[in-house]
Amino acid sequence: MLETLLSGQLLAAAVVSASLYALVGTGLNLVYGTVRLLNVAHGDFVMLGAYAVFWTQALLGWSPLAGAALASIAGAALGVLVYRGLFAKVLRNSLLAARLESNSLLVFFGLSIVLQNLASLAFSNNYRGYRYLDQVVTIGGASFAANRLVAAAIALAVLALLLFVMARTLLGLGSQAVMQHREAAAVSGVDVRAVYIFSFGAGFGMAALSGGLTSLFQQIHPFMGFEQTVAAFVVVMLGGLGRIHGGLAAAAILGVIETYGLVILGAGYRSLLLYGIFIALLLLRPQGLFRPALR
Amino acid sequence: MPDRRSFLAATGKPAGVALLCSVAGAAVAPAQAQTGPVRIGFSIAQTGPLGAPSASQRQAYDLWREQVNARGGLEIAGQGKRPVEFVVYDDQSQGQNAARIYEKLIGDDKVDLLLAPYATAIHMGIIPVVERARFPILANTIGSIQAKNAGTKYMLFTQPFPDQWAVALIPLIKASGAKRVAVITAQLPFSLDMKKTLIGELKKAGIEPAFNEEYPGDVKDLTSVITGLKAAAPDFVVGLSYLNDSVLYTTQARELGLQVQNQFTLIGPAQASFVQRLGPNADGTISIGQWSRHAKRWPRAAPFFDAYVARWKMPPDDKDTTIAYVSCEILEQAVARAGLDREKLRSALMTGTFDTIMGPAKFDDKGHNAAMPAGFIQIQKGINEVVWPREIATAELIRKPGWQ
Repeated sequence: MLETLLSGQLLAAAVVSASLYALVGTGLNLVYGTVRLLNVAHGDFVMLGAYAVFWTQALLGWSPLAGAALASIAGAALGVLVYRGLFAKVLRNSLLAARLESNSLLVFFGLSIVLQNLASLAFSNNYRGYRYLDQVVTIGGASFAANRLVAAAIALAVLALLLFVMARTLLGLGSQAVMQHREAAAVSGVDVRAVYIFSFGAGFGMAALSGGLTSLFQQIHPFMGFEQTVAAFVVVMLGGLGRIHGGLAAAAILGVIETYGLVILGAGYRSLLLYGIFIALLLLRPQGLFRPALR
Repeated sequence: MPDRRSFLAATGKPAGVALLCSVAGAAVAPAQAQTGPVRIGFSIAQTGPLGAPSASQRQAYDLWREQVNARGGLEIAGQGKRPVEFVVYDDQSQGQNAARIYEKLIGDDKVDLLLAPYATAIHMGIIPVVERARFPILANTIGSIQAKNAGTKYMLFTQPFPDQWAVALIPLIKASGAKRVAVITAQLPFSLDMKKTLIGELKKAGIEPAFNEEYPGDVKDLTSVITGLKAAAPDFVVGLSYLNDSVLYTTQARELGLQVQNQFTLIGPAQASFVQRLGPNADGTISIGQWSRHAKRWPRAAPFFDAYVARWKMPPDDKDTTIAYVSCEILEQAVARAGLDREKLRSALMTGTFDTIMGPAKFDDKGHNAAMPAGFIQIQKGINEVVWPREIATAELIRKPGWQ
């Protein structure tokens, strides 16, 4: 068992899982952090991204990676559209905006049902899948299908880019300011509307991208989003709502538990470990992993 | 802005079910039912976790209805032909919804006949309803020993039970020449039921499992399980898995270079998407099922396959679609003999022999389909062939080819 535990294979598997959890979780976190909207339809945008890749590949003969790039752009555009269509007006009215956090749950819940049913009508409920880059690659004793490695590499690159934008650009710094205190940021001259558009675009784009990337090795169907939403919420709650770095650490924890939990504790206890840690952290550090204690 | 009440109205189960209700064809008042269409009711998961796999069953039902109507309707003893109309509700992948829906189908909609929902848990939910109403129904996509022993009188079972498949697998394993057998099991109802019988049967046959582990049903990574398997060096791996983990297992076994003589995978290989995803690496995978498009001894197998592909632009699921279609065929023939009276229909079902795309079907006194053996299929060059039992085989059992 110790040999298994220390193998590079397991570590690499954890990194692959974690990077995709991080991508899907960070997209959700961005929207929550800045706009304070709980997007329970997040996973359904993941699903749409997966279908975009499947259909561009099946009908137009596109490479799934080109499809994934298109999916993330389309996802970002859709995000801006959702912002403009559903929330822009409400956010301008401070009375409505105050109630938005709870109401957004209902709006997105409705959106989730609509998206799932539209996908089911348009694409049928049948499982879809395709083969791409599935040759086995061995790096330092760990072997992987190339598609999983590529998916993880793209996810990590996009996350790195996001961290750079957040830390080094005006828009990113503005977003951080809005995350910390919306009103104070607005008073200090941060263009809150631009931050909202950025968050929706980046958040939804990342959701669609994770869908495109998971479609490289997972079956696609209209109801695949729910699982993704749950994973994203676990990442966001563990890391602290609106805490990008915390979310990344939480995704790493999730990836480690998924791969190592089975070895250490056996099948029956993996979920117990995952949600046990989840509940323990919520009890002991309700503010998330890295946020200063609430006073 | 939705308030709490409208939120509940939109999401609450009964209202949600009503919203998602769809009636194929025009609604017919019960008074006209003698001359109008025959109304056949069922619930099926159109949303939720079973929404995707249930399509394989729903498409069989729809194809059958269209074929029957194209032939002029369903022949009913003493009444001639009447067109078929479906009354369908979405059970949202939940057994308790299905129970309510079947109560409504029987009590309110007053349907003439019933078809089964999709999946084990949903079937279990409706057993008390159909038994209480004494309404005959042909179960198909259910894998449960509990259901087998429930002593149902009105639910008849078209498909073999998990323990039958477990018993039947032993001679196949012996014939394969395998010495070291490993069993891995997803913690889900069908697979656990099958494992329960399989381990005992293996031991009875003098085979001590070289490796025997379970993993969670929603597993995302099987690295540790496959590493353990590799160390045990089995030559026959019995993977009691569902679709997602069947794909995951095959992908990761290949990544980790786990080469075995024979690979059994419980649920998944019958689905076309399994081969789409895994390509030539799906070849050699053995699974449950007793139908192949090449089954020449059953003259209706090939025409069914062609009709299905023409209608749905995809091959059927060689297990779920075909067993659902078999149920429709049995129901059609029983109604032609006995009409719509529920008791007469039940006795026609219990006593008759039926001609199906999977050969003859006949129920024993417990309502279990005794004429169809628990068989096994194997993917060979991307197509499922029946390899066991030998009487109905369309191809010889082969060893799993090396990874591509």
